[in-house]
Amino acid sequence: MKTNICRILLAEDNEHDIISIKRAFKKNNITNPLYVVRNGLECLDFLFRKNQYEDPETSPTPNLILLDIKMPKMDGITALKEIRENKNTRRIPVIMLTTSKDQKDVAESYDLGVNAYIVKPVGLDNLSAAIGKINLFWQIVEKPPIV
Amino acid sequence: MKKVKFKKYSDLYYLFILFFIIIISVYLVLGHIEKNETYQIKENLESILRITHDNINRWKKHRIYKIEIIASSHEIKSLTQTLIKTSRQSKIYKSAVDKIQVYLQPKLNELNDDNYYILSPTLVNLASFDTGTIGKEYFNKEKLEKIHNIFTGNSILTTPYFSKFSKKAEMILGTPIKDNSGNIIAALLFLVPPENEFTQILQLGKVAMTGETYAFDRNGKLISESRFNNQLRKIGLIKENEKGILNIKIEDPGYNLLENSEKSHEGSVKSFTKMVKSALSEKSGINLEGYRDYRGVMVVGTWLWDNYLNMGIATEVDKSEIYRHSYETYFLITALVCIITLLSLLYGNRLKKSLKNLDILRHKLEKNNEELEKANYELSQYASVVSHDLKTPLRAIHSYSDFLMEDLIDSLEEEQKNYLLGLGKAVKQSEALVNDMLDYYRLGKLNVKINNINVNTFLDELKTMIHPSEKEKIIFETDIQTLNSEIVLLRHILQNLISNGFKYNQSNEKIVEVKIINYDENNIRITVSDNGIGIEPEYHEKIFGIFQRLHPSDEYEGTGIGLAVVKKAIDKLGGNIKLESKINEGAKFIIILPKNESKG
Repeated sequence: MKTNICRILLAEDNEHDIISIKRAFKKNNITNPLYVVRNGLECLDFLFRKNQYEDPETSPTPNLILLDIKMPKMDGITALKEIRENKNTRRIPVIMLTTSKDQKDVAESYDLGVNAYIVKPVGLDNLSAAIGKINLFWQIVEKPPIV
Repeated sequence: MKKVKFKKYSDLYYLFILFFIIIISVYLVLGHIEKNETYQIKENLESILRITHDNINRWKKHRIYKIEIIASSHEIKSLTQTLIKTSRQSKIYKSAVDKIQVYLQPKLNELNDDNYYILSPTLVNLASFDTGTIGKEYFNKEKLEKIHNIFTGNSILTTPYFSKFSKKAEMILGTPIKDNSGNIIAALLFLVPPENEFTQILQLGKVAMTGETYAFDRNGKLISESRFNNQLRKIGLIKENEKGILNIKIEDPGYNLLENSEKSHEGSVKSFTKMVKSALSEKSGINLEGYRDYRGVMVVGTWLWDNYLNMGIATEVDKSEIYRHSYETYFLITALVCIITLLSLLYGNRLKKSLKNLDILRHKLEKNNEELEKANYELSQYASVVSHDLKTPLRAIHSYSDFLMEDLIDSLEEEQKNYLLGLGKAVKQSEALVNDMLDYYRLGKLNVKINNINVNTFLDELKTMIHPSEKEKIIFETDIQTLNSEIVLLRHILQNLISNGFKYNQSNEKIVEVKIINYDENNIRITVSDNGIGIEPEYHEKIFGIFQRLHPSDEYEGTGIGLAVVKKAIDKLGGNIKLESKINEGAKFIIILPKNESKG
């Protein structure tokens, strides 16, 4: 680990959700760098430095991934499979974002080694709860989250 | 579709078989009747002719026998000898004539004969009833020949002929008168009127209404009285004061005189009837196909020629009458067949038509059903997609209104704050509506999986999910440990009913009581009762329909879908739900669900 700074990658197609999440981060005093991609394919490109994300400066390996399940081009579940299959990315904690409590989606993502999930809308409370579940990780973060 | 078509064809098939059977039967029956009828007619005609012929023969023999007895009587013998031996002017002669008269008169009366003659071998009239001087000239050549026959020792009975003198028909019955040594000294003749016994015997042989038996001579002349004299006068075959006997030549007029009496038959070439032609060639015969008689009427008949009688005898009957029964039967059966055919055709057509209509109708229904299913599917897809797509922007609006509220709450004026609160509330309602709609459509697609559910665990979980507030209280009561049902649906049902129980409730302590009990062998009963505002009985059915609300949404939250979802879920579980409630007295939902025990 080159740096202690915790980088967060958000894969989310919905602009409103992006705004909500950014706000929740802000309200929780989480100021860590947030990188946003808009679908599963872009997420993988970012992680594996492909296409527009070739530059490691602008596309560093994140320490946490927030992954929306329903996205165009490639959905979250498929992207998660790829992430978990690659040895460079498989240890990165992933929080799934979902609009429903669809048991199937949730169960499937847990099977794929998801660390937590948040039912949208992402607000102050559920974000803190989800982040709380991966508390261990946040111990290395400069400013630990309010739990 | 195939099934119906098959049914249609099989019905027509039966119809055809029915037709076939009817037609065959009719032909068999008609054939039999005809055969039988023809045989009967033949038998009848032949036996009548035979009997008549026999009777005429017997009568002739009888008449000859009688006259022979008279001729051989002592009185006739001796008186005739006296007549021969004495002069006509002598007293003895005259007394002998008187004696003969006295002797023969009663016999003549008894026999109904007209006259008698005692003729000398030179054909001089020796004695007669009316003492006429009639002799040779009285008879024509033909008759004279016959009379000459008497003097060779034969008795005769001539066929009837028309006498110029008596102006009437007569037959000559004659026999020789012999002396004691056997020499023929004279002839005894009786004039027999043919209209008496002769005709009577023939007329006994009448058949049915239109049949007659008659005799004719070698000239083809009618020699017995006709049964149809009135008819014959009417059609002009005989004159008003004439009789048929000896006035009719048995000729075929070529057409039916009875039907065409006006028609002149002057010019037409007449010939003997088929019957007479055959009989005059001394043949007997029978014709059942029909031929014209002397009235021109189609008749069937049988005939014979008798040389001893020197006459032909025929028995005939109108063809129309003899076959009338057959015709009637034919007509009846034909009519029956026609009616049956007509009915069958009508019925068949109607059957065909209604089957066709049915087919068309079913086709339409199928098509409609397909279209409806498609439309329903599309609608459900549409609703689902719309709901789903609405969800995201609604959530965003919800979030933004929350953010604004959070950020501005301290700086806003009361009025503006209320607007923001209203916005949040409206968004919440919209979201609830969308969520409920999604529930409703999701439920339609759900595959029911029956599992064994631990009732207490299930109820505990339910309580946690509903999370009642301080003012709200849920009381559970059950007498069963486990039940078999679809847990998602069951949870949904109870969650909905319980939250309704709290929602439509203005009591200080809102209580919802849930009881799950063993109802009967096959069912469990779940009751959910509350102490809320209750529902008027007239709405008890209505509330289970989708988008049915009883209260304005600002008074009570709700989308009007909740109970529809409940109803749908219960339908899916194979159960039923009803409501017992009065206004202001709380509501009690009673659910009956199958135990589904056969599975486990």
